[in-house]
Amino acid sequence: MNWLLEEAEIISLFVRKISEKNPEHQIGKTIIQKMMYLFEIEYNNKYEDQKQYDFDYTLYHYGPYSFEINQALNMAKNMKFVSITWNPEKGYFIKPRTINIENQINENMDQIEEIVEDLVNGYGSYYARELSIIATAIYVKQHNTDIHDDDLVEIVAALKPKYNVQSIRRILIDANIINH
Amino acid sequence: MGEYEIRDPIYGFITFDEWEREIISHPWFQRLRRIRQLGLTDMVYPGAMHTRFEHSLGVMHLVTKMFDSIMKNEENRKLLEDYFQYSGEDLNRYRKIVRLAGLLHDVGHAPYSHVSEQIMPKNTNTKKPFKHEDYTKAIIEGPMKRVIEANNHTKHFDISTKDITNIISGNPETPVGLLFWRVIISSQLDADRCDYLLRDSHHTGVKYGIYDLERLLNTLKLGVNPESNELVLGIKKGGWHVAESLIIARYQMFTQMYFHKTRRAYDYMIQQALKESIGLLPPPSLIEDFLELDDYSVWHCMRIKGSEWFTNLISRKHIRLLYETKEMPIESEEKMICRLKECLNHDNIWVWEDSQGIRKNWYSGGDDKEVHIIDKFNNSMPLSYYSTIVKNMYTPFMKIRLYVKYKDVKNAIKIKEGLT
Repeated sequence: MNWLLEEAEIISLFVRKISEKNPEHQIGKTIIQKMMYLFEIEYNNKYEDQKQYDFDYTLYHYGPYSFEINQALNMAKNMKFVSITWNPEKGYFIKPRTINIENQINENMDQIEEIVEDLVNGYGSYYARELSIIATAIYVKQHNTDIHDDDLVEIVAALKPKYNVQSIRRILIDANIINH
Repeated sequence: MGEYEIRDPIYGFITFDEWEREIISHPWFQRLRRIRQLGLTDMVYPGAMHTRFEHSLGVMHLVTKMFDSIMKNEENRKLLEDYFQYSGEDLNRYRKIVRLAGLLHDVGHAPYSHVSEQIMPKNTNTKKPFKHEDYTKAIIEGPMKRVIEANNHTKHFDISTKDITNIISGNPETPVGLLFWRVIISSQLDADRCDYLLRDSHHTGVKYGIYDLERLLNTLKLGVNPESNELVLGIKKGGWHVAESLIIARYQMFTQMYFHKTRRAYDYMIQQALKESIGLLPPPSLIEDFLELDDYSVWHCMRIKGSEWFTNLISRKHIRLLYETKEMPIESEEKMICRLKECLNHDNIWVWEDSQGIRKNWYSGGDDKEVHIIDKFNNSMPLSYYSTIVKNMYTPFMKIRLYVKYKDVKNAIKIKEGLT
């Protein structure tokens, strides 16, 4: 089965789970990008000896971004797993369309669901801007595993100059990325 | 600082300074003269003999034009100052880094460009295969470090090889004001694709890749993404038609040339011939060994090895397309693929299904509909909300093809006819 369809199925699962947890929450492309980034890391860490995901994320000034995931989201729309609309004041709104995908695409769906569930519980209530800060911090940590909390806050603050250091620190503490 | 110029088929002349001239003259940059831009596409379009060398010069030229075009717009400058607190000194330095990143972004390409990415070894740390960007980084920070850093002008701009590789790879330690410019090096609206569309069209003789470059440059505009509040690079509202034509150009080049059935056949054959003659490429840690490999040297290796794949390749007995689905396969076509494969296997006829690799192919990357159109209030909106054509373009491309060997064509066709 095509990889893009598999990824589209995971995306639609995220959209469905976040919508169930918080129906009013705006799920835009930023949320999908960052959630899938967190998914790749969580899944690959937890199931180290199994299939490893590689969505090809690289860092831009707006945080980690994958062109492949954008394609997969497009696929999810084309397959009618999700709907995507644009609000000029708020940006994209992605909503679930299909409750259950008729023929399950991913073979490891139980494992995927478990990870998605955990991520939605942990990060599903964050807005795009906060999630972008969290994903950027995790990206920095992935590239420098020994980094101290203060240094991490400083690097993220340098990458997100529109936010002050205190608010970045607060978000990262709340998301359990740093301790203090 | 002396200025030099070189004739270019797309832009007329490309100019560069003494420092850039030394980099261009370095043997490992000159190696790009022996890496074809489009692999064996010349087997279908005989004009496709151009190399990564001229493309790299083109990207340096175009990325500079994009940078200057963005900066000449007052509203763009205000937004950049507001977001990244730029100073004039930073800008000169960033402009130079972006220019060098454009020049060097492809220096790590392996023989026959993207074709040989299939034989890049795995990175034991990430457990993922290396990419040409990993080789690019190793070359810039390794054998080319001296020519880049041991120059007086480098001291003037205080530019290190790390500055260049950081922006190419997106290193989090890059100052965000510099990282921002990654959007014109690698994104939906970057100098790389804007150059290769025009260049590939020119050399192959097809007209699909042509769009109005001057209009595009004149309408580059920054805006704000309402969801993330981040800066985005887009096109002025009044110029959205040029964005549309760029997307159509890319789509047509993809379907008519990059994914051409015979071109794909040759991609596959040369991959197999390379695997049999040189195995896996050396990892970036053995960069000097990697740099010994170019189109000429691996061609020699393949000729010495003389595998069936190579023999068929040079005698044009390429694998033949037996069956293909629509761009988005329908159920009956998928069933046909399965039945055909079963029957061919039953009769011991070799078959290659071209489908799984599509996602990872360079030319299918990205979501073109994501190009943003920016209004006079700096609000951004996706192109697909302006252009009905782009909105209705069906992406991604999921065509599946079955190929058989030249010697089996007649038997395979009989089997196929028996199934229809």
